[in-house]
Parts: sequence; structure tokens; C-alpha cells
Amino acid sequence: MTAEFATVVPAVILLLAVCLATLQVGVQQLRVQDAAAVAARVEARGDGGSAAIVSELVPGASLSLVTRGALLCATVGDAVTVAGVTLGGVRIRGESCAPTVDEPGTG
Amino acid sequence: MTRRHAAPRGADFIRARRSRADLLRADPFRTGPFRADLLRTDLLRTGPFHARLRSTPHRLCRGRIDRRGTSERGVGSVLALSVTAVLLAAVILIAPLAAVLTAQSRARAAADASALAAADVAVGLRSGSPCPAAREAAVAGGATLSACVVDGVVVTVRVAVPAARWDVVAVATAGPPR
Repeated sequence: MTAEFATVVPAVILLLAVCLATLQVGVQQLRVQDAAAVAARVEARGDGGSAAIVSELVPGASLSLVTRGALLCATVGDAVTVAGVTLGGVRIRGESCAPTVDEPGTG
Repeated sequence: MTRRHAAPRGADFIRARRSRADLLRADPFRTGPFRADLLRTDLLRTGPFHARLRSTPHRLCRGRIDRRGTSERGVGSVLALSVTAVLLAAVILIAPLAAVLTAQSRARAAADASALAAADVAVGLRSGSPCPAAREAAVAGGATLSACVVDGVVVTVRVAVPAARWDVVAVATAGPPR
């Protein structure tokens, strides 16, 4: 339309990109959180194989398991990926705990 | 034809009554007739009425006023501003939504863990009291225990996780399989 419009369009597109990136990070956080919940639950029930489940839910994520008293806590970390580009320095993590079952067959 | 001889109104009427001295002061080199071409020459050339007459078309003003390229000037800024406002509104709405969804996931997991831990105690798998165990599990999951009801060996808990402005609440019940 006009020259002023042409100068403004890149700024608007940049803003749109930032909005979409925020949304993408939010969705990623949700997936990581869910993966941590599943991993904690599976591992606390004594089923094992939580690492395979996590790598299936969130490819490339790291998993660490810590026992705190009667609880087993799983932490899943992943590098933030925006528009297919992985930002190595920025990581998101999700943590979840589940009570361990001592005697198999009672849970 | 009748309109042509009608008296001019508004600004033109005022200008038409200007004296010969006024006209000479405005244009000292004026030589032509003072009344015959007043409405044509003067309206276009001199005085503070210039802008006004250019902006308000009058039937005594001959020719069309050129407004090409003026009506859409500045539309880029308005459009950019409106698009920016819409995007910001979307972010302001969506960012808490993402936070609430994450908190919901966390609350559900914490409620499950809390109820299970309490039920483990209620059944006798572990020692202690159900509700403190439920509280411990809820806190470990990033939530706070807001209710804990023990009905025999079945425990129902309610936990809350703070999200953007609200508390996301999840309820879970655990007990031995029937």
C-alpha cells in the first residue's frame, strides 16, 4: 500500500513470530510435564522402562529419577525448540513425584 | 440558471463584500475588474480562505478538488496498530492458558500421588497417618493439599496448584481394588 506500511510489516511479522514461539514453548512445557508424571508413576509402581517411555513422549529429553522417602520423583528436561531450531542454552523441565509401592501386587 | 444569480452564502458572501481597498492590499498588482472575477481568482489565490475553500467544495468554485492519494494516507499505521493490538491480546489470553494447562497436568499428577500415598497408609502398607502422607506427596508434586477425607481405607484428596491468577484444583480418590 504505502511505504510506511512496508516498514511496519516486518515488525508485525516479528511480533507474530514471538507470539507463536511463546505458544510453542508452552506446549513443550506441557509435554515435558506430562512425560515426567508418566515416568514417575511407571517407575514408582515398579514397572520400569520409564526412559523408553520418556524418549517416546519427548524425543531427546533427559530423565533423572530421585527417591525422596516414600516418593519417587522424576525430572524430565529438554532443550527449547522454536520453529525447528533447538536452543541449546534454554531448557525447560518438568517434575513429578509418585508414591512407591513396596510390595508388588498390592498397588 | 436561477442558481447562478443567487446570492453567495457563507464564506463567499463575506468575501464578496470585501472592499476594493482590501483586495488591493491582498494583491497590489491587481489590475483586472474587482467584482467580476472575484469569486474565481480570489478564491483560489489569496487569503486565509484559501485552505478552507480547498477543503470544502463549493458550487461557486469551479473545477474538482484534487483529493487523490489523501484519503488512504496513514492507513498503514492504523493497520499495523490494530494488528499489533490483536496479537498482544492473543498473547495475553494464550499465555495464561498455557500456564493453566501445565498447572492442570501438574495438579492431576500431584492429586494422584497424594491420594495413593494416603491410601497406602490407610491400607497399612506404610506407617503413619493418611493425611500427612497426602500432604507430603502433594507438596513434592508442587501442589498444596486443600482437603483430605478418609473413609475407611478409601482416601479422597483435593490439591491446588497456583496458575496465572487462579488455583487449579484436582481431586483424586485412591483405595484398595474392590
